Amino acid sequence: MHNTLLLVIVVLVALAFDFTNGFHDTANAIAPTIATGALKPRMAVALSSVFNLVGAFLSLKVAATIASALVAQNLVTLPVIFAGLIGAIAWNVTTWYFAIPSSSSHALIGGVIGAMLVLGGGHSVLWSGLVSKVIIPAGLAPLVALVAAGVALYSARRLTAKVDRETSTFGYRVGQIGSSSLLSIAHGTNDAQKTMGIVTLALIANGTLSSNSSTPAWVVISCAVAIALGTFFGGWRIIRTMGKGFTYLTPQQGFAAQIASSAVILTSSHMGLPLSTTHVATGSIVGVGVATPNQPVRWRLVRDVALAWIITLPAAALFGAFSYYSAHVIGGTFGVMVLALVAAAYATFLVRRSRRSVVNATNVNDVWGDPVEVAEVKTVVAA
Amino acid sequence: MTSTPLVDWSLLGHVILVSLLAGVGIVAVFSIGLVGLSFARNTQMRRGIRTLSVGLSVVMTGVLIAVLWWGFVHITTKS
Repeated sequence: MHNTLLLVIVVLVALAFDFTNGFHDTANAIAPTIATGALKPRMAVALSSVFNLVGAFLSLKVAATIASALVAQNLVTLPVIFAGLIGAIAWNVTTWYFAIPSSSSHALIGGVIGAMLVLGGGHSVLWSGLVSKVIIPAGLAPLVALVAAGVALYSARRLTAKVDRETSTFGYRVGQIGSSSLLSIAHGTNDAQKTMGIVTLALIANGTLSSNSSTPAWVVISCAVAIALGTFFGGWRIIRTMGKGFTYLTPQQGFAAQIASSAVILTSSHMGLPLSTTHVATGSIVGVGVATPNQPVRWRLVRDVALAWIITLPAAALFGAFSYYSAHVIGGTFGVMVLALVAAAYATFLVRRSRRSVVNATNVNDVWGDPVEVAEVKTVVAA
Repeated sequence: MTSTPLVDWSLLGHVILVSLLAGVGIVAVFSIGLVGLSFARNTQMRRGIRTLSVGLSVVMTGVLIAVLWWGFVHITTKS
């Protein structure tokens, strides 16, 4: 059944989600680059936004997965898609406020699933697809990234044992410019596709496109631009957590972590598996910390982030379910518009509260934690 | 009638293997290139070794670019 106004609202909200995805996940590509001083903060986010834009045009395999392998397409309606997106945006801005690097991918999937469960019950979700294409790969991804980054760093340390410090630092910093560009492309190929898949699903649900249609060009372009813009605005709070919170990073460690992340994300994108770039990037950063002798890793922060990951799917599902139910109770397109305003008000509230403890390009690299602890870490890493 | 397994372990294994090889391989190639650069800059070393080191850096840079280009083409043409 055609409802142009509702479709327009859904598409705009989808692009808003893509924007939040951009600034939420900026850290995944460039936090190590900023933390090691390879690039100035604003230059890093500008570079990342350009390459996110490039990456978004490269592969459409993930879009196909989101649209067909996780929910029963014949039951999807525009209000379901809308509620799912609202659930995902709510989770994204909440975790951004608390500076927790969580998965935008899982937030989106969870939001849609929550709304579908309210609409059609358990049979409306393709549980086998969810488990095989999302949950199991997502659980393995950070572990694979951790091992890949750790082994990569170990090989780099052995190979460059005789290299002078000046050449090593300069070389790996230059390398990080390349690795963060590659990781930004990887993020673009992986994450912009998800929103493209959701918008395509909305067009099919509205009857604008037939089932199994490919993604229209305007959808690809608008989603690519939205994620690039979000990246450009930069999620400084999460950049700080990833660059400074888990462990101290040298240019060599940053390079190894970013290359490992790129390899995992690009390979999985190519195979059509929607992986969380956040899980992979975090796994890599922790992996280089683990692989460096006597280097402390803030396991308490890792634990907190892991807990956030575990609850992301169900929490976003709850937000999505609540959004769908509320819009349904209010009724029609008006209900959807009310929920959109409520979500906008919530996001505005958090943005204003965040100004009490501003994190931006000027203080994103400030020391994390006790200065004595930091000095000890630097001494160990320099040895 | 055979049932479809819940997880395509072959596909997952393929992803894991390629990721590990690519990640470790690229870092190793880059690191070897840095070794060459370091030796080339070391004025204490003999001229012949410094020349070879420059060659090593150039070759490793070429390998890196070739691998990244191949990956880029492979991904975009399979999309």
